[in-house]
Amino acid sequence: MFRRHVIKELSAYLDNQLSERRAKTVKAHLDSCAVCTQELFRLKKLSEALKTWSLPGLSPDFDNGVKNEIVRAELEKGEVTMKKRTVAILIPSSVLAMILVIAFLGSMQLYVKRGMQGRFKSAADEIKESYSQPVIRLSGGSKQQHADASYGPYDVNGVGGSITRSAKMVSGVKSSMGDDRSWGEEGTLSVTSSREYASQTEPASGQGSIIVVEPVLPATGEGEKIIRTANVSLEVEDGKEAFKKASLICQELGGYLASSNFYKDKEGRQGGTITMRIPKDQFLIALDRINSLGKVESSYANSQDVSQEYANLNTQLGTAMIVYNKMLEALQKRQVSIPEAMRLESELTPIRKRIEDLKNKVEYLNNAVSFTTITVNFREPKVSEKVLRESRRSIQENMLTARINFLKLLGNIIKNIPAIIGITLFLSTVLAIAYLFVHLVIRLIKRG
Amino acid sequence: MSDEELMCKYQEGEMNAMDELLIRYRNPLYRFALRLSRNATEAQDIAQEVFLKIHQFRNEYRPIGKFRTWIFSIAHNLCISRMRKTKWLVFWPRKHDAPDELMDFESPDPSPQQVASGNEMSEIVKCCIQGLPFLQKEALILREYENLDYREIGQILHKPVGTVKTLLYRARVQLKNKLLPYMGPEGGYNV
Repeated sequence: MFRRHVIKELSAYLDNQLSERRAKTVKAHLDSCAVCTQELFRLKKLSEALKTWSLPGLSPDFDNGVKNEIVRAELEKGEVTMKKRTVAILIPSSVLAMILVIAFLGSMQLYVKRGMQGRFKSAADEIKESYSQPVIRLSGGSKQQHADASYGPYDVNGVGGSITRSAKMVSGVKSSMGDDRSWGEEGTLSVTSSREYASQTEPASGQGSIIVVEPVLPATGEGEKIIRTANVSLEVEDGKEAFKKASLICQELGGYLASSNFYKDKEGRQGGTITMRIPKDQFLIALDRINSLGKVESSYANSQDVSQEYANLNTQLGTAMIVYNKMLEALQKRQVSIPEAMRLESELTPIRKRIEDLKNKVEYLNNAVSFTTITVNFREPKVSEKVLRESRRSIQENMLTARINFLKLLGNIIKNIPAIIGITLFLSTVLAIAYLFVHLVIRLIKRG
Repeated sequence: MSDEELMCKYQEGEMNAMDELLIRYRNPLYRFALRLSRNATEAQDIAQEVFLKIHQFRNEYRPIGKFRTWIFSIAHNLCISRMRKTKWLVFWPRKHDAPDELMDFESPDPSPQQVASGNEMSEIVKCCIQGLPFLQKEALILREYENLDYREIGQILHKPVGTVKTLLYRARVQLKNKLLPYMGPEGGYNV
């Protein structure tokens, strides 16, 4: 009656996990099937056997352990919450504090910058106005002034900066200048340095020497002797070309090369150093032109006022000349005795030597003042644009060659297409004939 | 009071509810973990951790399903997690490290010397159950010892009811074959 056994379902039947309908079916089958009944009995015995697996008891302090763990977790959570809260307070506070500090510093910087710009701008405006007047009277002189100024991309630090500046220069000043400036009546510019201001007793206006303002030439006056030097470091594309151009600039501006050095390093980069002497009125032009040779890495200009030294030398020279002339006159007019004449004769030689020395020094100063010294250091960059250009060119050439070769190959293929088609057709025909022949032979053999 | 009501009370902050839950479930959880891990300390740790998890995630409990299923699910997950961490050094010798291959895993049968030395049905049963694949073993433990129905076991093991049914059937067939020599004549076998 029930051919199909229900052994697979006995497990669920035993567990009472079958549906009602299915359970009835299984039960009905069990009533008539000894095999399945036996299997169910075994399963029941198995279940009983499984129940014999005894286990050791739980530790008595288990509950306490759990509770302790819970308390510990709560404490840790509390700590974490506290930490989170602390962090939540600290971080925004720190950020806020930082923002405030940055804002304060920024506003301070802005304030200082604007203040300085305002001061220099007004000074520049005043100087600009003064250009309409042919002569400006300078009072007070400027023997010991300190001036630190920056015009354009150059920094000038030196003793004895100029008193009168072009409008361009003053408007571009970034750093502070240690001078107090004021415009007196009738377009007179009074300039007093901070040091000089204390010691100066004579009236400031209307008693100084007259100098002509030269708007083009910054930081120098007619009566002043200022030695200017500059040092420019450049990164150039082509070292050799830069060397040539720098030499040409020097030549065109009426200067001369004091020294030059050209080298090539291990990596093949060209570089060098050129020290050129440029007439003082061509100083800024020379710097501008040198800067255009490449990328300026650093630029530094320095000025030194040697007016006082020059004046001292001149005074010493004048005094020596007077002494020399008087002694010479006395000797020539024979107003002295023979022993005295011999003594004077012997003293004349060191005085003459002294005069020559002083003259040389004056000449040296004149030369140093009239010709500024510009040292140009240049070198090619590590990854030279020239090398990159060459590499690109090489790649382009290679790609072009590859394209040409590919086109040639295509051309050859196209050119040989008729031959290829012919060979293919020929082979196809031969193969077709061979196939037909074999097919025919087979059929003939089959027929008989 | 039902387990679910106790848990709801615990959610509301009634700490006594935890005491009652501890009384009700400490032994089942411990037994379950011990049967899986074969290590009393490990089992105690797991049981303890289950209650800790209940405490930690008490606010996430929703009385939709049975509490018993939820708590055994936690125990199951902890066992799996420990198994992955310890690579079954304590729980079970493994042929493969990959947890996905648990179904294929079978430990060698208990040696006759092992079984004979114990000479007790408890030891025999223990050795035979330990020889089952992990999921079969877990399903059998939950059914035979914790008396969970197939649906609850499926929820705990994340398996459909049909799979649970198959797991249990296979487990019982294997056990029956292994325990064959040790069962009395009433079982239809000759010893």
